[in-house]
Amino acid sequence: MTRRTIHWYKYASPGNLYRLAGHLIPWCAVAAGILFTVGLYLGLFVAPADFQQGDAYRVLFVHVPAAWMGMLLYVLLAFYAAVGWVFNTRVSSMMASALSITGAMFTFLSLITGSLWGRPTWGTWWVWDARTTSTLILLFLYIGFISLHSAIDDPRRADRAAAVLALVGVVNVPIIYFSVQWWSTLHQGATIRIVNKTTMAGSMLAPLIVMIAACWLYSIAVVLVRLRCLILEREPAGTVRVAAK
Amino acid sequence: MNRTAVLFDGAHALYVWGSYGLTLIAMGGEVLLLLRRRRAPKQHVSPRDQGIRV
Repeated sequence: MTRRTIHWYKYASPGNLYRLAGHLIPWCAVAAGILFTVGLYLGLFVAPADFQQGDAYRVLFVHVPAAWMGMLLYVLLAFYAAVGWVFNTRVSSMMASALSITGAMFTFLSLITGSLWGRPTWGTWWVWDARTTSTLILLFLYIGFISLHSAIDDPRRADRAAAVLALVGVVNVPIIYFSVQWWSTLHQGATIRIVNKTTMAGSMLAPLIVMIAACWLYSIAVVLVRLRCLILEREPAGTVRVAAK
Repeated sequence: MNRTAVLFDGAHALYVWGSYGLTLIAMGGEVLLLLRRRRAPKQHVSPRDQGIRV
């Protein structure tokens, strides 16, 4: 019996990764489109209104996925930036750059949609509590990463400098996550729990999970498209052409 | 009033639809910018090709 092994190291080559990304993008994009359609239908037309917040709680179906993606993409960004810095792998640094803009976009969306949710439920657009302030700091970290990377002409030097910022900033992610437990905040605590029972009705939880999955697939698709652009921009012209054969 | 009507013109419609609208604009904008960038990628030109001595 022959054993099929996947040689993951070959995807450290920009040419091979360019080709793999080309295969994955259409699948992720189509799946994201289907899940967004299903999630929006379930969230807007099937899920019942909340007994306290009424229909205002429906902001949750875009706010929570955006907030999660903002945090998770930053952890991924820091991981790839660290790998690129330590092992000097160009693809890892390019992946970190590709993640930064999508992560910043989701963090910005989580702040804006949180504000739109806060107005009818808290009676204010913004409060300087632990969760909102640490999320704003996350947005500044993303902007700092993108700005620092753009400010340095040599891409390899830019990768290393931005990696330092990414690694320092990753400490903010657990602060965001645990802020509602560590401090007394206006922001509500976690309703979806891995260890304990989730305190959300199934009819509301289902669209939320579908929207989170859709946001993941959307992120994979757009990050891979951006990664392919970066490979074309940063690698010698022959690299991609040879790999595509 | 049925649920769809409440969603479209209820007291919280502005906040709910505002959130979904902004999300659509942000994601759609990102996709459009990426498609433009993909059509016209900046070609890599090595310093040597630019006539810069390295």
